[in-house]
Amino acid sequence: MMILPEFELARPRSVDEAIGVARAATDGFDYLGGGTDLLCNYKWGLNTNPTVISLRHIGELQRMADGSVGGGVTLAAIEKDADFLHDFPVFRRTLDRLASPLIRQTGTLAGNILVDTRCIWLNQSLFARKALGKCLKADGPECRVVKGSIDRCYANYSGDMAPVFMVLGGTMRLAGPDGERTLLLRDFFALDGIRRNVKQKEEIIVSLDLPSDAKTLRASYQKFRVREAWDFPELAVAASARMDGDRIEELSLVANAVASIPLWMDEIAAKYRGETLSDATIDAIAEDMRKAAKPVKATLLPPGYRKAMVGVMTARALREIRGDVVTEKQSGEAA
Amino acid sequence: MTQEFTVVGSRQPLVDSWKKVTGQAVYGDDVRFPNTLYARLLRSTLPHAKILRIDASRAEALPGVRAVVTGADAPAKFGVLPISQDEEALATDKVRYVGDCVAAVAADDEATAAKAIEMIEVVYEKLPEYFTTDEGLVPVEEPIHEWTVDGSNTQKRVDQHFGDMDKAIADAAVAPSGFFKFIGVGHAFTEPHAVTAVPESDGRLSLYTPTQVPHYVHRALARVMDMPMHRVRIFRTAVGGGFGGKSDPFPHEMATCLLARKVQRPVRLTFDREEIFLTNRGRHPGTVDVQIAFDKDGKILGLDTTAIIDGGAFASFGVVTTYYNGVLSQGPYKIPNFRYSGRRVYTNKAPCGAMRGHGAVNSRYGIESVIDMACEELAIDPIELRLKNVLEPYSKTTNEFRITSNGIVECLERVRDETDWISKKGHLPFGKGIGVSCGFFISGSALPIHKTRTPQSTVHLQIDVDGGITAHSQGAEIGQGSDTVIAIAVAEVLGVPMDFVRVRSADSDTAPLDLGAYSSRGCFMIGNAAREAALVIREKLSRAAGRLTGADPNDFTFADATLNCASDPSTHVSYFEALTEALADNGALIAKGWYQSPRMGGTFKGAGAGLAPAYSFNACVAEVDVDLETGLIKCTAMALAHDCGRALNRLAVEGQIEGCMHMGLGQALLEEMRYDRGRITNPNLLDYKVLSPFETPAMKVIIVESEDKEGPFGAKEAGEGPLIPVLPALGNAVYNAVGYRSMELPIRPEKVFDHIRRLRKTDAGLTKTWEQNVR
Repeated sequence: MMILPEFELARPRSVDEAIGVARAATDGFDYLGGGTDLLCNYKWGLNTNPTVISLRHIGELQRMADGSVGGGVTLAAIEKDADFLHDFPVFRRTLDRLASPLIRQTGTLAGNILVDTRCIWLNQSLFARKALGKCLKADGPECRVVKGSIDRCYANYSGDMAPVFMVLGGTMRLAGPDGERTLLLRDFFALDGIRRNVKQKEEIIVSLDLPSDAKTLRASYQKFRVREAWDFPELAVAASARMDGDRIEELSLVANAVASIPLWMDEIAAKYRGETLSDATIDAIAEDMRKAAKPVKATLLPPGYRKAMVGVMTARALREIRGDVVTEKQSGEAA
Repeated sequence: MTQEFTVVGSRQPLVDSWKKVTGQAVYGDDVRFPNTLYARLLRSTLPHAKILRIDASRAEALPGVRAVVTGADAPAKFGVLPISQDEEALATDKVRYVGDCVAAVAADDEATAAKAIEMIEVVYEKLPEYFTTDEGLVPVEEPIHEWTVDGSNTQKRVDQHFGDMDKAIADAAVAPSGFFKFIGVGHAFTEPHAVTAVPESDGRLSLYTPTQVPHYVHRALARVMDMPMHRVRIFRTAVGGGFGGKSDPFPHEMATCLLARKVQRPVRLTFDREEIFLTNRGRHPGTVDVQIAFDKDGKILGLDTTAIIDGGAFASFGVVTTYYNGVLSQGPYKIPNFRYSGRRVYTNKAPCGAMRGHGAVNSRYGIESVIDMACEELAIDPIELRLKNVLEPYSKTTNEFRITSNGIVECLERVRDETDWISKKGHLPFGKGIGVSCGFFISGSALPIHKTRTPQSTVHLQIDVDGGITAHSQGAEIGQGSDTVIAIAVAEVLGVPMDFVRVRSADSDTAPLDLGAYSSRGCFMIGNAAREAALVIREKLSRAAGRLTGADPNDFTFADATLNCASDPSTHVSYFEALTEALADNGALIAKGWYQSPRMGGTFKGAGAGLAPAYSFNACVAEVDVDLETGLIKCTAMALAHDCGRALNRLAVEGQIEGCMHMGLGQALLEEMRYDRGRITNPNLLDYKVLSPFETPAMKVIIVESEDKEGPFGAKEAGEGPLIPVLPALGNAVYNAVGYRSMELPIRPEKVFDHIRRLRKTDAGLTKTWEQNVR
């Protein structure tokens, strides 16, 4: 059997208590949400720490109301919140295609935002890493994907919730030793598969919050992978728009799972604000997105194919926003 | 149906299903004994290396560690086939793949055992590494094993030629060909290998293991432990899926027993998922080169095929696989001229072996794809062409397979009619497609692995005053329903409800010999043995009824736990009255039934390979919807008609056929064992992609009953054969949908996407291309 390494498990009852435990854990710690990502990595012996701080018993992380979702809320709970899904229907399909019902039952929102970057060289047992050779992110000298890279990891960002919150203008509330701070989620990520984001180690995601005008945005999340259950995205595109008739008033785009972070494609989005969302515009945006995406061989499918699919998924997202019936033949059902 | 049955042909939940769904079944990892130690294995991280030194002193000194064993503790070789015994409990002189077992530790707990493993120091000297069959076909510097062909890594060569293949090609109106590549796939069974070895107080050794082949484990374990077989006991636990992946005796079984004997305490070992992939025995990767000659009417003139299969580091069932890749091409069509060249090559990768549809799956994909090409060239409907070529019932193939019952015509006609084939084929829009394939498989191997005159299956029955019938057999119940087959056969013959029958098939101390769950032999052979045994009991009860009533003992029929006199309806006795009379002055009723295949086959070299007392036949139609923007393939519907002779248990047959569709589609669409320089890179069930329910199509199961004259109540196999036509039916449907012929499996969406993109670039419109080039 795969054995979890030994660690001290702390069960704080408040955010402050959790931060206190974290500060005292001088030999290293990890926060634990649902554990569906962290504990798998622990079993593989990936970057383990001697202290694990469970956030499951902290009430203030479980709150959910009016566009604000606590970091500790399970994905299944979001899925069951009719008001939230009514206000932000894009999450219905996002969640339906995220992992599996069993994992969503345990996995949390913050856990999905912070899901560790993944790579075919990284997500292996200790035995396999010895046989295959270790990589930069797990005690190796260099990146196995981009040979020669000794200071940047190219593991793939694989969460599904962050890109959707990003295109809806979501903010993140973080609590840390120096108090609370709020930042736009689009500013949260840092382009390196090891560093991943700007969160200080002791900081805890208290909530993700959506502005009330996000309710009037049209949004779509198009996820591409070979199986409709279980699989992390091979790539995905999140898009939102505020339309004035046929005209794009506001546009936000994220290319997801083609780099170590969800890519905020502001330049492309800005280029098309004010345009009519015609077939030609959709094709042009899709082509720009395709060109901008530069996936590397960190996942199952070939990078060139994933790059091409960024264009296809972008077009599907925009067509859905326009109100077209987008047929996703993967499922054989109309979306 | 020519006979009336009461139990046979009904829909029965498997007799062990209740305890499985309620958690009461004892699987390998559920076995518990007091004072048990936990084992872990040290595995090689190098593909090919000489072992210069093993120093386990630090591990042995770790508190909680009770024993360490290495190859020196049991150097005897073993293997499932007597002709290729090349495995060791633990590597002695060198390691042959990443994952090869080098040492084993028993400790008070698993964490300590795992820690100790890391403390064993092994000094290796690296050897040249061989990862491809091309590298292995020619003489090499350091062959992986000593006894390979001419200093190469070739383990087995098969060359067969019947008739005049060159003339067949010269005479052909069309002779399409294809070179196909296949990635290795694993069984992906649910339950990991999990064993417990127990040194008994009388000096015997018991092994609890979820095996498909208790008898072969028994033989191999006795050999490796250097103990007579009667001092060794094999207890087959409940098996959580096998599919061929638990049909070898394994090094980990031997190593656990070595530890238990050394410390004289029970020792248990449970694999993690990665170790299952490292142990492998999955379907061989390889290439199949096929050419088929046809006359202008679509009649097959000859089949020329070459298969080169990548065996990995050990032989396993590989000699058989090498034959099967060729000889099982002899059905379901008449092949008047036939040439086959097969090679199995050792490589420094996880060993391949038997997997559902053993040896007949990849070659069938090649054959049925090439037949599809011929249909297009000759402008003949694919089902019509196949119908022109099928073998007759009770006939003989060119290589002297004895064909008995054969429902292939009904299979083809029913999938045609029940899928609305005629209105769909050639009339679907671009992106949607329909394809067909046939399949053919053995229903048990006529020749046992070990040369012996001992029957291939024996069943004992015992009835005492409670009236319950205890059936003993070593038939390995692995979820396929062999225990239920015994219960059905006995209940049918004796006219009692199935709950009168209790099957005991786990313990080698009480079970009469059966060779195990492989080659689709169980239903045919165990079923026949059980039926024979029940007929002996029936005779005893008939005589007792005769004594009680004065009627002719031969005049009784058995139904509803009553023996009825056929010629006098007023004369009847209950089952219990007859039993009481039969037990008087006699004691418990004991009976034995056995099955041995009749002699058959040719006298040429390799004539025994593929010989079976009966063969199953089938046809499959797949329908697909290809996403023209992404290249992703969705199988939307599948119909599979399978001739199983007679369905003893319709529920089980349906389940087997559905399972075959799911597993076959998995290999066709997604599953692959990926390697990087001999290292498996996806040894987990997230990255090794078994189909989820979303990718599973609507399934139509069509049971065809050809009533085999030698099968138990007419039955033949249904567990493996239905997988075989699934892959080519899917491939042919994809071709029909978008004009892309995949010459490899799995069919890769990126290649379908590239194909469609090329079509878009090179033609004014896809539809035009489609109409001109494909239909």
